[in-house]
Amino acid sequence: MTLKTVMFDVQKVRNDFPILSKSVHGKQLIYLDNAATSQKPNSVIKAIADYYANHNANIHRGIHTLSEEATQMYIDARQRLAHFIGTDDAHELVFVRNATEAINLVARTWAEKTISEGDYILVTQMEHHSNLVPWQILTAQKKANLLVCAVTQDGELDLDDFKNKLSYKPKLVSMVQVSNFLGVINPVADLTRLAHEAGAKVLIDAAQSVPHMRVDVQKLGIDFFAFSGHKMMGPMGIGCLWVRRSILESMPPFLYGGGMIDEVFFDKASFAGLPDIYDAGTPNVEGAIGLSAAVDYLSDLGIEKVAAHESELVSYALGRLQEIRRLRLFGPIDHAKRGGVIAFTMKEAHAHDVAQVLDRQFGIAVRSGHHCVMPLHMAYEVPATTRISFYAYNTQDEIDVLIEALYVIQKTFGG
Amino acid sequence: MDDLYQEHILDHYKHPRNYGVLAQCRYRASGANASCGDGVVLYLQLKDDLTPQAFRFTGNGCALSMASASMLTEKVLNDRLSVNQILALSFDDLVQMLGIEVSLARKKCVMLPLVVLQKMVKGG
Repeated sequence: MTLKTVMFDVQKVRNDFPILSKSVHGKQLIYLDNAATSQKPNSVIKAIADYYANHNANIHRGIHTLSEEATQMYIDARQRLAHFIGTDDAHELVFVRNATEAINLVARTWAEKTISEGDYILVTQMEHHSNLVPWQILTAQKKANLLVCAVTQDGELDLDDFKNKLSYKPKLVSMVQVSNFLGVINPVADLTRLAHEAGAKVLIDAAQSVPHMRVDVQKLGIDFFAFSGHKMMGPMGIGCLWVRRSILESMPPFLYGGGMIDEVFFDKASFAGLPDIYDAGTPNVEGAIGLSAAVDYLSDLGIEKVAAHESELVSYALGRLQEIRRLRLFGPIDHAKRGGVIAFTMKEAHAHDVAQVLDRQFGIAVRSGHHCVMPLHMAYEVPATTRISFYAYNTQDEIDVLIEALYVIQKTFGG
Repeated sequence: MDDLYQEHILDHYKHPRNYGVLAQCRYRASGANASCGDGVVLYLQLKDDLTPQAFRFTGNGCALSMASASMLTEKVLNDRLSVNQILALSFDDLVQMLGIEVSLARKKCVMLPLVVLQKMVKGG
């Protein structure tokens, strides 16, 4: 039985991605490592090349034509990104390097100013190191306390524990929307409401959600929102931090120097307003333009259709993986609760061996290790897992090749 | 199969030589690659003339780390390596011992038992 995706023509999508026609070790590339980074469509690659071929100049500081063009393209990119996540106030969107930098920015500015000795910050057990370590450092520095909400054995957030920990009145709740290990989608709108009722501000790590599903920062009601461009068909080196205006306006600057100032004397300086105050130095203009092109591509495709396509793939993959004996799956078994990420272990072979054979024998790219979620792996008592992750250009046929490969690995290493 | 997972590598992985604990031993040490979960415990007993009498290991990990540990115990025992000779062993020696090409990404797996062994006997 073949599931035909009526959402969009996957083959047509695949044709837009030049790297997908590559061979590795003589096999057709099967790219299942999208949670690590996504591949880029021609339109994104062309947009970046076009910028350098036809419009490149430094922005904001020049009167000449190219500078005006580049400046306008940068402004337009910011507007496109803001609109994509559900706001028309483009000044609420800060360009950064990636989600990690976005979270560090909040830690070093808003949290640095707001968190005092004895205060609480609440995170969860399923956080990526980038939404865990900055808070460890900050709470240690401030003699504040880091609370960690538990995850159930089934791979979902422990809602009772969450409510319990809210009773400590944390100043900030910082959590992931879609886990890059468990695949689980957290009920962010509900959790935000509870957090706000308890007096906390809410930061969402959206690195694995924005690329794959519709997000609306207004509807979610959150305060900070971080994501990376390279996971959503955009280039590396660009990401976004969205901050509710009422908070952003009173946040201190992050980096200091050219571009974010108003007046400068030898002994002091005053600073620009939004958005320039967070654009110290020459920004990654090519990155912003590339990311804007990615947003255009995803919008044309239809982000809801991308989500539906991935949901079908996850449902199919979970079904076939569950048939493999001595294979342990992580995260909820219900595909409706998951994004397109599936991590597993096999009894017969270590995650690294699995990844190695999948690559060399079958041309399949997966990731093995702890996926920057080391503490949760330790809590599950598995040092390393193998992870597959889907995007708009993956197919059911690719899953079939993966499953056959896993049976071969099982036989070779276990027999 | 793959040129990395040749017959002898898989054989050592599935049927490791000298596997098990050693109740009486002069040296005992454990080590792990935290990020990938390869771990070994080594047990080494020496004769009066300080040549190896028994060398066993236990552990869990990827095929390369386990095969490397298994083959290393055989090498130390068969070649009757002294402590100084053990300390002189290098990554290249392991690659030769394994008979396969080891990529940069898998070097840590292969080196684990040697790193633990050398640290263990260095103490004296």
